[in-house]
Amino acid sequence: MNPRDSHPVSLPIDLTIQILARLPTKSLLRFRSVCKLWREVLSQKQFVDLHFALSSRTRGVAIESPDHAASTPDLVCVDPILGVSAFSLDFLDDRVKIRASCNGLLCCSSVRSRGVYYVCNPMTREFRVLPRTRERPFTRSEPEYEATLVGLGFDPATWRIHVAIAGFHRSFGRWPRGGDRRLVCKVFDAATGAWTRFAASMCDEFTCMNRNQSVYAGCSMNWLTHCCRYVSVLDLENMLWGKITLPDEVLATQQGTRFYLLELEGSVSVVQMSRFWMSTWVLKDRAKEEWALVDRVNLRCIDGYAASVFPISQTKDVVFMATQKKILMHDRNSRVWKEVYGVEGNFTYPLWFSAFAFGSTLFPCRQAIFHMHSVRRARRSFFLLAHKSAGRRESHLRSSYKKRGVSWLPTSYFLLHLHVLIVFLFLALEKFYSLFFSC
Amino acid sequence: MATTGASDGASAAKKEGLVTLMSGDGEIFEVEAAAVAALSVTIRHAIEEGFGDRPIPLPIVGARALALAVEYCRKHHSLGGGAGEDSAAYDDELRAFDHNLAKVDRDTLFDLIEAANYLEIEGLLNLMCRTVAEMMKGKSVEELRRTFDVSNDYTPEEEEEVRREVSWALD
Repeated sequence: MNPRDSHPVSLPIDLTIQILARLPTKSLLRFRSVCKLWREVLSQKQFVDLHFALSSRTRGVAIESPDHAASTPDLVCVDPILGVSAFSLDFLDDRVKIRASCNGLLCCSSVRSRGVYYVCNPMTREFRVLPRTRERPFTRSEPEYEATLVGLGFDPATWRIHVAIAGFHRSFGRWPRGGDRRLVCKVFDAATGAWTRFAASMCDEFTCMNRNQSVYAGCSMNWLTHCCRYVSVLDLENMLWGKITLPDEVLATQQGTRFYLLELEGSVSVVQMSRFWMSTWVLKDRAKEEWALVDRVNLRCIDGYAASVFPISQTKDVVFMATQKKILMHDRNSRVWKEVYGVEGNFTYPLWFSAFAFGSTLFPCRQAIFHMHSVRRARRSFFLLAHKSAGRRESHLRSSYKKRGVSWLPTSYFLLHLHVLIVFLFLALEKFYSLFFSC
Repeated sequence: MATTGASDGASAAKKEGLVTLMSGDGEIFEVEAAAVAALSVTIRHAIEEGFGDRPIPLPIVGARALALAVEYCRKHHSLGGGAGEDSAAYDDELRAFDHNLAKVDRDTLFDLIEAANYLEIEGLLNLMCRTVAEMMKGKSVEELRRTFDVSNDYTPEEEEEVRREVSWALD
């Protein structure tokens, strides 16, 4: 470091913000402890949004550890700027499987307890447990732990979170057949903190396994269907299923090609892979079903991987592909392929099975929790509320006593609870007497 | 002011397309209006408001930063947006130019950020902020407090608390 550089600089706070917004998420977390103002600034919506807008270069992939061994990290992230970094999901305190990824947030389902879903940000380690999808144990008419579809939506403008799970209704002991199938869907809206259930008839199959990632764009979740003729769209505003037909050029050359649904700069994108070419289409106009071809990549360089290479995520500059044991990155500008990550040894699953599009952000996943609390609190009886505030007074008293050297007020605390008990007893007695006398 | 007087006396035809900028420390720059106005929103507005024949005062921009900013505008105006087969070569040249520009010492870097912000040159602001961010990335919290002249207003307990929240990111 230059000795001249040791003296401080005076930069207006708005310009300091401009600099901070260009830092990697991990550094920002560290710099929270610089001073209170920085901490305040770094958690403001304006800053988080600016950071998100400027971090498009650092979007890459996250790979979930295939075997939950202690020696391997839960999550490995690869991005074009910072390279490979390891993360842990141990803050969830549960064995989880990542089901969906959206704008830096992950939706995980618990492996141990069925029907328990988490939404978390692995960078800030903030998480929320979603309410159980249902109270009663497993029934066949509910989308379940092995739900066909799991989608996560985080709107970068409104910070609204949606989780959708969907599966086919199955009457007891029978596999669904033909056109009489009902797709049961449950959507969690973080603003209300509750699940909404609705059913729709759906004849098409969804492609199974992990390759069927949902893509969130413009308040809708999108999936590719098995026949690869259209995109299934779940409109989260109106809770309706819809379809968007794939571009005509794609449908005409469908033979012998594979399709994947990815996101590109906030839009839905379809990647068509033939033997030698990978074509990327972007949905320009949802209402008119207008697609545009944005890139064509020659696959001859990676011909060796042939049919076992899958696109995982993309930005306007790079595409990430996963093979059995490697993550490859293709630079759209220089047309250069690069191996950015690889595993050795025998893993249970190929990398493409457990790779997700991921870019670290500071987005919160718990902002609506306060709202939920206030709703729940309002529902509680007056009695409990009074008790609660008395408790708070108590704790206040206790802290003031602490200052004077008295550390604990057991008797008064006990008396307070006793007081509540007595009132309950009186109420019960009154009820009893009124019943008795009416007889 | 001698410099302006002399240039006023020169032929008007030669001055066509030029604009005069005055830095905060009183230095005068005569630059191509088209190049600077294309990149700097502030100067574009100043020219539109009829500053074309008077020097445009830029009170908070130092002479050195202004010279570099003008150079940036010139280079990007002549090479940027170049279409056709040369565009790739132009891109490389621009990248090399940006790379060299970012090699200035730290004080100039911060001056340039302020200048770019005042002149509203989006590309330059982005380039310089990225450069500083790159420098900051590996720094310790203590070093940053010194660099940005902020005092630690946490109590030791509070600081410990904040550190604990992000303990995994500290190593």
